[in-house]
Amino acid sequence: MSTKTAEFRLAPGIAESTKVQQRFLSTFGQVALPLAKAEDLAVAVVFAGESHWLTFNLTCTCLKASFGRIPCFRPAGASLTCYSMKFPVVLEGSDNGEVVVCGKPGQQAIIQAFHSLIASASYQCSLERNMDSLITELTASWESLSAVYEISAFIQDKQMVEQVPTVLEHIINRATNGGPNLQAVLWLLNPAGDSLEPVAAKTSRILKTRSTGFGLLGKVIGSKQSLLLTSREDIRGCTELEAEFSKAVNLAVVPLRARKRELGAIALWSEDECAFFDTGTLRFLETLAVQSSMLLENNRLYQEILATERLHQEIEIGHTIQKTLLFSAPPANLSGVQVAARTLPSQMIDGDFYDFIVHNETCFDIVVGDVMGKGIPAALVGAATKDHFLRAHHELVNSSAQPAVNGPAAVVAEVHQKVVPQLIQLERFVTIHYGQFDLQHKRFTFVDCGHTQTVHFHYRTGICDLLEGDNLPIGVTHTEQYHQFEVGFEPGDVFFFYSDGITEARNPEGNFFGATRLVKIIRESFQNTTSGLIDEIFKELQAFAQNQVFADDLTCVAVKIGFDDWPSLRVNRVIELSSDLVELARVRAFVAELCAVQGFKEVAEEVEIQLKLALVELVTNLIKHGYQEEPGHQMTLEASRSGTQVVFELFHQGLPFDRAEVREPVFDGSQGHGFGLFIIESCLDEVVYGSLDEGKSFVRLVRNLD
Amino acid sequence: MPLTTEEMNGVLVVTIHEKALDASSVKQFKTDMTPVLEHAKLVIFDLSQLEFVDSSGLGAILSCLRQLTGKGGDLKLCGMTKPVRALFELVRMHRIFDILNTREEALHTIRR
Amino acid sequence: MRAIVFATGYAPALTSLNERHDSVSLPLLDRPFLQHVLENLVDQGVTGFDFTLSRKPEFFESLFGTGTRWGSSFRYHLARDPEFPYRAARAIEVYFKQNPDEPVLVGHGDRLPLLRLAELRAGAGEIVMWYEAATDEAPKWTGWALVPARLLAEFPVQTDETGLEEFLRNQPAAPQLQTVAACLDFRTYEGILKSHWDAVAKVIPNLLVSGREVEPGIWLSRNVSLHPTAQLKAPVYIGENCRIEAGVQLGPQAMIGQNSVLDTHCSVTGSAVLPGSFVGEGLELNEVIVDKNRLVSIRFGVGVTVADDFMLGTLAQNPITSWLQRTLSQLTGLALLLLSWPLLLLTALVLKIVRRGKPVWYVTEVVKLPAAGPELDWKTFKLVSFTPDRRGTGWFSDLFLRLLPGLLNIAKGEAGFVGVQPRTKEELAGLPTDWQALLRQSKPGFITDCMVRYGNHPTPDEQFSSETFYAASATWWQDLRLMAGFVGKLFLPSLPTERENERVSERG
Repeated sequence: MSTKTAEFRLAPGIAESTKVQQRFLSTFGQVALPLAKAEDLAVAVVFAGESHWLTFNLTCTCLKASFGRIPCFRPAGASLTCYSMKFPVVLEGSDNGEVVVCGKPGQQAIIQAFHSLIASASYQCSLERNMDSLITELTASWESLSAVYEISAFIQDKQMVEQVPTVLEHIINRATNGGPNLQAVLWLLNPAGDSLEPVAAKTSRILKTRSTGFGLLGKVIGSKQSLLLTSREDIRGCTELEAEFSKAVNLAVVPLRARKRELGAIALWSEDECAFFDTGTLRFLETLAVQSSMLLENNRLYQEILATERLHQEIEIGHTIQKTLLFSAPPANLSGVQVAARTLPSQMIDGDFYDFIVHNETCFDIVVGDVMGKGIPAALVGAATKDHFLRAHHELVNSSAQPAVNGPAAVVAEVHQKVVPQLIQLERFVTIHYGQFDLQHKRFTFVDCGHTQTVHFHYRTGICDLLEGDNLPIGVTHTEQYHQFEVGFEPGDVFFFYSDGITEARNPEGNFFGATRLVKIIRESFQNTTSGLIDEIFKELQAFAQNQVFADDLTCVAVKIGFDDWPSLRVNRVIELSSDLVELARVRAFVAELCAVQGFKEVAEEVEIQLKLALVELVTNLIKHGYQEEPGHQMTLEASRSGTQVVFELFHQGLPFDRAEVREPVFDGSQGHGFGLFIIESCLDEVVYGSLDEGKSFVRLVRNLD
Repeated sequence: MPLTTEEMNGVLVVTIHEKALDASSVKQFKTDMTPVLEHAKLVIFDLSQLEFVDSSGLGAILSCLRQLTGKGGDLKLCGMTKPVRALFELVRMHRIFDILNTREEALHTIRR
Repeated sequence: MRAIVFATGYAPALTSLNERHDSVSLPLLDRPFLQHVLENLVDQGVTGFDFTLSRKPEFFESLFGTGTRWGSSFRYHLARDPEFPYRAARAIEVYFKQNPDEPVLVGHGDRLPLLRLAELRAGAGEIVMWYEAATDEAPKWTGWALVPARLLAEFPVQTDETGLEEFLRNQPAAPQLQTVAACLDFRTYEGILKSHWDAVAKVIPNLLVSGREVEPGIWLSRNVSLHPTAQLKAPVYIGENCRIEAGVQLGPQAMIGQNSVLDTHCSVTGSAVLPGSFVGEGLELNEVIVDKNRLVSIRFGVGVTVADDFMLGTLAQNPITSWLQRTLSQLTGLALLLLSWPLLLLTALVLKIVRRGKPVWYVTEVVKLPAAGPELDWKTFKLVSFTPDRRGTGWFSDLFLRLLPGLLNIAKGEAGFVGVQPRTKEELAGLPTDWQALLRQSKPGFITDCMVRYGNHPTPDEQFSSETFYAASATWWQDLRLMAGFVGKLFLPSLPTERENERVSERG
């Protein structure tokens, strides 16, 4: 939808706006219109409850709602389709108002930049207000006024961006039009602020670039005061006089300033004796100077806005690359392992990447890498390298006769062949850690190309190993033999892969976070889920750096080998009991301990209560009936627990038990006994009474945990 | 077995300061309860400190109930912890006993 | 305002349905009825609840928790006798000691009248009782009343609901009587059905329904598979995970609870199918309530429980196919026995050595199926096995310890390869009557639907559903499929059972 302008400039039935307001409207319009048109923004200036539309964009829903009258302002983020901002306009007293700018959500940066445009326009208005008094002073001098209007009209006809030099030329022309044989030059400070360059001139003299703080120009710029010299003697008397002015009879020099910044100076002189410069001439020149500085300042602001937008876009592109090309979603459907990956982007774009290749249910590969350097180029190299890993994997699978799983060394060598020439040409290198998990044989095989040391936490011992290979980063040399290393792992083990952004995060004192701190966190919170573990590490990192934003991207992948899907895995516990009822407390503690074994799915509270009840009833029964409460006998209670089942086996030498002799319990309260067996059997899924050799018997209790 | 008794408006509130009432402690419980029950008619057992009761403990509490109702008295239970309630509900004893949440509820409902 | 809700679930009129469910926990549109009562009252500004429970206290306590989910506070009380629960009111009165005139809402959790508490005007200490207008008789009390708290202490102990009504009506200050426009009642079969229609007709406003009203009067929940040829006539409600097969006609007035399966060409009108039920092929249901395999007919105003197999299938088997099948199974058994006797002897020998003195053979007397008549007439046969376990022990031990010696029984024609788990007389007699009735028409076997479907540790519910399903719908091709399933497991142990499948999908 195109932006409409003219018909909405003044809402119908509006009272005449004051002069100051009109002036603001026109100067602000000069600056804002091209930008608003180019960016398809809706801009309205509101004075005393009446809106003056500069541009009006009907796609914007909140504007539709206001039907072109007072803009319906919504704070940022209130609506998904619009992003609008309100800026105050400070003119004077009752002339204060506000500007509402409304655009699409992606245009925040541009919209925010209107703040400076408005400030500049109000500044201009205040300058012009000063000029007002000046104009009254110069009623006789129609000259300056007509010049101002002419220039303004000229500016309005031009597209400001490219036409700055033309307008400046025009201003100089206008200056010299005032009388015969007038000469004028406009000097501008270069960006470094150390020299003056003539940018527009109408003179017979040869112009030179000159340094600041020197000569008449230097004096004028330094003192920020206009200068008027009306006799040859006065001019000659000046020290360090510029060669251009050597023959001047009348000379006026005015500094160009904008918002407390020096821009340059404009000089008007005459070598003709008949010409006579007075304060009117000076005011006229000052008017032109103000016009020029405004033009330059507006142009600068406009350029700045464009630049911010470009930077913003670059960051956007970088994050999109990261999100879509550099990071893959961790595999979710692997049995027996938990994988989580996370990245905390820095302000700049990094070349960190990771990927997962799932071969089958029990085997998957993981690759983490980091491209040297920053910015979009690094991100693109990262994306390309990551892509090559997947391709290498496919090529190896397709080229081999048997669909075998290739080792990391073979894959990395294949990638090396494909990417090294380009990387060397680009003078970039990539650190890689390529690992392969074989769940069936519980082996982890890896190739390390100069990446950070992977942390391997051993559940059984609580020790962390740092895994390191011996290869150089990819892209350093043409010939590299890749070596793979192999370590075993067990259920409960945790692997942690990360980019150097994590270990090289610094605290305010400048110390590195380091691998030691990382290992400590992993050892303390290995019982967490992988995602919880990463949360914990990021939390510690932010506390350490006392900062939310880091210089490098923090990228990491955590892999945890689970218990639950290893049906063969069991935890066994044994306790020796004597035939004394005092032992019941130990039996309960034993059950509680078994239920609390870490690494399995949690046992529900009800189940734990029921297991305690059943075991206490069983042991009580044995001591009372099996041993006739005779102390000094021994029993062994063995328990084993898997993810799905708890099994207790009680071995004893008491009298064997005959299930058939037990009567059913009565629940009407008339009997206080006979519940024991009922409790045991209702709390368990399987109860087996059996006998072994030499008068030994056993009771086997099974409880399923599903 | 550590027991404390408090007399409140003719109602005897018995608090059992023990973690478990199982076969190992039930004998002591019974001996300790005999003199207490001899003179009382309206009794409330505060079980809030008891974390485990097995079938023999249940039997002992049942026999208290029978003794008291036999002589026209009443027994109410209050402050049961979760594991204890699990047992009572498992063997459907909540159909036999009056089980109340707090001591106040029990005092309020006991027959005078 | 606090509410005291008596929710003991006592509903003698529900007869056999009451055996499995309390009236208050029966589902109305896939949520326990009591939950609807609770949410309706919370909506009307009730801030606290005292629930008096009796039969399954732990169920509601874990379902409702402390009430923070509803921005409310809950207390639970136990009633010794579900028919006379009012004793609990005396205990609750202790909490109102500070303010004995505070009005308290008292009611029964098996009814939900349209109360409109916001419009109620009642003087201090006044009793309000809500009545439901009836066309042909005197108005019925809805079981809900507003009473001053101090009256709770005087609630009669040894009376039922009529006694409570009498007690309230006979208070010195005559109670204000209000008439409600509607009242959902879950104490009778007719009430349950009517409540369902009232609920979808939004007679009680703001009832939370898990489904979405896709068209006026048609409610569909998540994950319903609906065959395109099925016809729906409003009002129809279909709960989560239901499968509606081809040509099924639903409605007007059909409520299908979650996880139900409606087989091809059956029709359901004016009926409620409770969660987890299976309606067989071509079956026509009219004015009935179905709960798993129980069917309650409402047509004559009386609840009747039918424990027949027709709920689960209408496949009356052809006697010739059945004879052929038996003979074929017998011949195959004989052939396999001849082929594998060396393996049988070897297994016995190995077991003899390994078990050291413990018995190698286990011989159990199990009931010959199909078995008709009373328990005394049931015939038995001797089941030979290497293990005392008759359920299922693991795929390979099943093959060697149970199936191999079982070939003797198969060859004798006493059991089939596929069938239901063989049971002794005591075990069979101990089963619930409906389960038993279905099993008695089936045949025993070594490979069971249950173990193929749910593995070696089925829950009683799983065993029940798979055995009744098998008993009612077994055909020769289904037997073949089960056998294939068993062989598949034997050689490809990674094949998941149905339960493992579910677990996987939950995880996904």
